[in-house]
Amino acid sequence: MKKVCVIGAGSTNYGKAKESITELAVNAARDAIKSSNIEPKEIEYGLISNVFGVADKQVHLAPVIMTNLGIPHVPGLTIESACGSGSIAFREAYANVAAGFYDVVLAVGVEKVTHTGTTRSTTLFSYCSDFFYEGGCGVSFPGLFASMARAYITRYKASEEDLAMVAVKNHENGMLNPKAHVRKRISVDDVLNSPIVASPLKLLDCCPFSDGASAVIIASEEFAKKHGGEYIEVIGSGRGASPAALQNREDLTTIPSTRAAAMQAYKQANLTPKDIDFAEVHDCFTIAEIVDIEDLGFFEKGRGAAAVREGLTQLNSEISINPSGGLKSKGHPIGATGIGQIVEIYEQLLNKAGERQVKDANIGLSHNFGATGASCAVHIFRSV
Amino acid sequence: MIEDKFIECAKRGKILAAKCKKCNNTQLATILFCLKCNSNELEHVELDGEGRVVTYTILHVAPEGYEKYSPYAWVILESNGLNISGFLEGVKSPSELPLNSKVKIIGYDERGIILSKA
Repeated sequence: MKKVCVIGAGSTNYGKAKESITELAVNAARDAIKSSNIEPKEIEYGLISNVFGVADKQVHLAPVIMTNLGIPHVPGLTIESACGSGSIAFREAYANVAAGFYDVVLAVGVEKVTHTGTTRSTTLFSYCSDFFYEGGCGVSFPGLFASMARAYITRYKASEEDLAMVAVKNHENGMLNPKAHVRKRISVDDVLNSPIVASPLKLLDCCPFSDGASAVIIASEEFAKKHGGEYIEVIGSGRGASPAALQNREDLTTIPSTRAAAMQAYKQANLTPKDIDFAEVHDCFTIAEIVDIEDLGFFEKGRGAAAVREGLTQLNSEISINPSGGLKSKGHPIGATGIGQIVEIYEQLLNKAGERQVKDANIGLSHNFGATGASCAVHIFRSV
Repeated sequence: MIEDKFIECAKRGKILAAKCKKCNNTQLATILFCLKCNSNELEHVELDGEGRVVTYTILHVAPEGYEKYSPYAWVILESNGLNISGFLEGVKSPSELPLNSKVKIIGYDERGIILSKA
């Protein structure tokens, strides 16, 4: 396998966008191309991650995006893996470069849903569940994670305050991110007093519906060295899967796909969780971040809530979790999210993260999953 | 379609399960190969639809088609060693549905698998 690097990255603001889905994607791709200092014609392949293009009347996004980048003859592929689409598209880009099929690949994730409104978006997202048993029996994604939260709180004697502290921390980080969707400092009481969405989760336990796009340029190490300029190296890549429906999981307080993907990525990188300086993890709901930091091995099973309570996951504490603000504050344009995490890691490892810079950041991990973790990808990166 | 058979059973308060002829594992009939030994020699069995609450949520913000029922619960229950989920109307507060309390399948309609307290 060839060594693989990320040589450029770009993102739009996350939030409510006026631009079309295609414009968002092209804008992020343009910024990634610019930061890599390559010309579009050097791109050999494009991977586009998106879930609800149909909501903005554009599916088969890849050829439209490649055409609008002035490279209509470059083949592309659109990938859908629910909220994990971005990291899974990145994984396919990584695999193509590692295998030697291409030297330079564009991965761009995009989503545009906010114009459909909360009820329509809630319904569209529910199509990502195992619909016969879940969406088709009235449960939303907040409801599915709320069911995990009730199981977790009961088993590990955690509290709704512990969940709220995840939101408070991520909003604090998001205050330092100019591209974040929800830049608002909040307190534990604000979370606890926000309206119930699906008990025990309140509105401020939930990430927002966001529009936005993120893009990275992936290249072989050979190309990156010859081309010159800054880059980071991908040193671990893992994929995992879980039963699609929550009901078919033996334990509702863990996500098997995260554990499998992380194990592969750590093994490939020859690292352990202790070696990770910071991580962008999938905090679609506050409970998810607590489960993630246990499944990724940063804290023992059942210790995640206490770790958050003790401040161990704050910026520049024991391990900086979601320095970008995470899905919770930075926002969650679902097709873009997994690529957006890698944009954050690129900026952090190149010391370009401004006020939210993680000190002495050398090793970063990204973790992104689809639905309730039915599909997952974990990547580990290092500065060079 | 297997879902149609499953629905027909749910309407009679039963769970359509599949028992593996090779290893005796029992699973929901909508999964077509044995999760334990991967055999597809499965035979359908109807199980009683009564069970106990494993976890649940009470939805206040509902997807399309469910707005008029909210708040309502979505419940994962354990029945005969299998887990299954469904829609439960008329639960407004967690105090009304302790974990491990008894619920049963009573039907199937446009809201999906319908549960009631047992």
